[in-house]
Amino acid sequence: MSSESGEPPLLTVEEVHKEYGSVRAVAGVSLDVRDGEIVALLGPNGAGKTTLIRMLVGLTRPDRGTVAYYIDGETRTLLPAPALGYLPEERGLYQDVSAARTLAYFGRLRGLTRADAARAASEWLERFSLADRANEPLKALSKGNQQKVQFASAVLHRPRFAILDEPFSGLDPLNQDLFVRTIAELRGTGTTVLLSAHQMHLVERLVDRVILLSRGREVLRGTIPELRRRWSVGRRLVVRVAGHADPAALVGHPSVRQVDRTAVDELTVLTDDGTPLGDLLVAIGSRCDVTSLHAEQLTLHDIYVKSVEASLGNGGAPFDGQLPEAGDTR
Amino acid sequence: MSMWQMTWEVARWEFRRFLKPKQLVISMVTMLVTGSITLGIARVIGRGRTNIAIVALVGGDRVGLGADTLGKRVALQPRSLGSEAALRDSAQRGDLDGLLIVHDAARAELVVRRDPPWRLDLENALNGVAVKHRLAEAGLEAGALQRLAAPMALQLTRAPGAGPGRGERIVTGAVLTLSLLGLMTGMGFIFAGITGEKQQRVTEQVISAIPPQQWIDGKIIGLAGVALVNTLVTAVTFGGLFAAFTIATGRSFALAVDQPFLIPLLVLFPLLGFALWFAFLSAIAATIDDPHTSTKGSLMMLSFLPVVVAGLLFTRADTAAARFFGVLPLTSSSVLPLRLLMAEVAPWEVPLALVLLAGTIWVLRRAAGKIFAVGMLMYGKEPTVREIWRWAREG
Repeated sequence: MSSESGEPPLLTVEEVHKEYGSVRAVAGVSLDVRDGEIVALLGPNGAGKTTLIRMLVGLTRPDRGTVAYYIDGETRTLLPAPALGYLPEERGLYQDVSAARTLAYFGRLRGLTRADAARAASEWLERFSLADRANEPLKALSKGNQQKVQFASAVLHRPRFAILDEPFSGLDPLNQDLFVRTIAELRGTGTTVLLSAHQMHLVERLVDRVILLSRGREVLRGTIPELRRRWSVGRRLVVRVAGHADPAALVGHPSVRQVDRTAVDELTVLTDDGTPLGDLLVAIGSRCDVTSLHAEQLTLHDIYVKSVEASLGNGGAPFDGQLPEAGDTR
Repeated sequence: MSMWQMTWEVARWEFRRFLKPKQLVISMVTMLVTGSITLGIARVIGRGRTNIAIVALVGGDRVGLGADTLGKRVALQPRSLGSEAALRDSAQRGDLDGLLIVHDAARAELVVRRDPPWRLDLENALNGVAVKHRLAEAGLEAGALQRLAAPMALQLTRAPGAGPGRGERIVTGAVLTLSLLGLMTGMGFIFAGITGEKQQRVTEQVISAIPPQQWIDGKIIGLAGVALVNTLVTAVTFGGLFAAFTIATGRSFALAVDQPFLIPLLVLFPLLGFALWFAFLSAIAATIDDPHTSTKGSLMMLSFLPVVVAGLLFTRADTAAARFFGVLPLTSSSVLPLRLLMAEVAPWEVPLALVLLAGTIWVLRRAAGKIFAVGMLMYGKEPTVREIWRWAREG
């Protein structure tokens, strides 16, 4: 595996296994993360994401398989502390210590000089609108503000590679947006990001690639457009009508593969890819009292749900992107 | 950042986090006030008039006992033999504090409402009376009796530097007390510092930044520093108070250590003991999931072992057992200082104890690092002793 520049990926994981007693937490996962990417590691609870992340950070060792980082022309099994940023799922802070001191401490542990750590702490507190509360003990801050400090403690040293396990959990929508922008900015300043999250709408806005795990195995990977193409079995039109929506109005039209009433006043029409829409739109206009109409793409949420359900139905084996039955998309 | 810099950074962090000068001063003042109040209460109680029990005496003339005050607590009032029955009723009702009926020099009866607190005083006094009576019966005159009862005055003449005197005993007591204080204080800080960190779920982020060995080393150094400062402040406060009290009351005050070269050893060994036991305590604390319910907290009491053993050997510092525990690494931090002050120490004992203690600290520190690395990331369950042992061996 190598990037377009010919260099190996920043992170290469090959056939990694981890078992706890009789539980197979990670079973033969391989992945790579290239320099400058934001990659999402997705999967349901218990899929093995955190176990895999802990191996990437070096907190535990794989039973089998390898983890390799390529950085500054060298291949290593672990990243040096200054190069790694880590926001763990299992997290907390020193409640009796101020935000400024906490951040400066983590900056020092990550290799910043004392002055640089203090400066970085101030910058991040300013960025998160916490400068005026810098010297208050963390226990005096709200959960959201503590989460900001926690996030800053993981990345204030501008690491080459940041692993963020559930960065959005517990945040309100405004702060979720703030974190999305901040992660994008981090990438802009040279930080490669691997993140795990359950907020698909946020992940969709942020990431370059997705790796989906289920029951310890990879079940899907690719960019979001690639995943859409793989999953998409047609075009979906959402038609809003005045009054009661009746699917019978469109059943039998040659361009319509399936039609469902998805709300009292809403029909969802599925057509095959590439089917000309002119006739169909005319038919819709003549047979329904249309108030609005739009085409809809599969969301990452849809792809996630379908892939995980399909993989669970398939004993957790990698999913090939083919639907069990054509049209069974709802 | 080098390993040492990492260790130092953690030590600095822990020291600054747990050393709270204002609280320390408040704590000292509170202790002084509490101590003064307790002392004052003790003095008031001591000076208070003791109630003297009035005990009717029947048959005292059989052993030459008459109206008398025995010690400060019992006054005897002789009565006639004929009044015994009435007096017995009075004593049992509690109208009288007691009725003492003396049958002969070997036998007496005390009639009371309930077992009195002055019973032992009465028994001791009666024994003395009985002995005198028997000696008199044996025909000894009063002068001879006095000579028999006179104590021998023992004057102590010590060769300079030849053994422990009062000064050495005070210094030994001070060293052991400070060791115990340091261990107790350190135990508190380490327990709070490590279990608190686990409960606050900080560990994973820290341990991704620095190796566990540097983390535990830093914690031990930082928290030991806090314990030492607390111990020294306590020692200076109460030592000063003791000195002032001693001088003010005109008592002698001599903290004698005949050989000044002992002083560095008296400091070094307890400090090494702190290092050893704090490493042990850190490892145990890392395996505790919930300090409120964990049974492993009792293991931490093991850290008092050296002081307890030294205390037991305080008056036997020159025995073979003391020599053994003086070089045994688990106890030498307190027992060797005891022996240095209170007994003759062979030239090989100090270097042997030092090497063994330093070696044990190194081994325990590494084992503690391995236990710490696993224990700090374990939430929700506590490892068994067998598991801890496996971690220590395998890492």
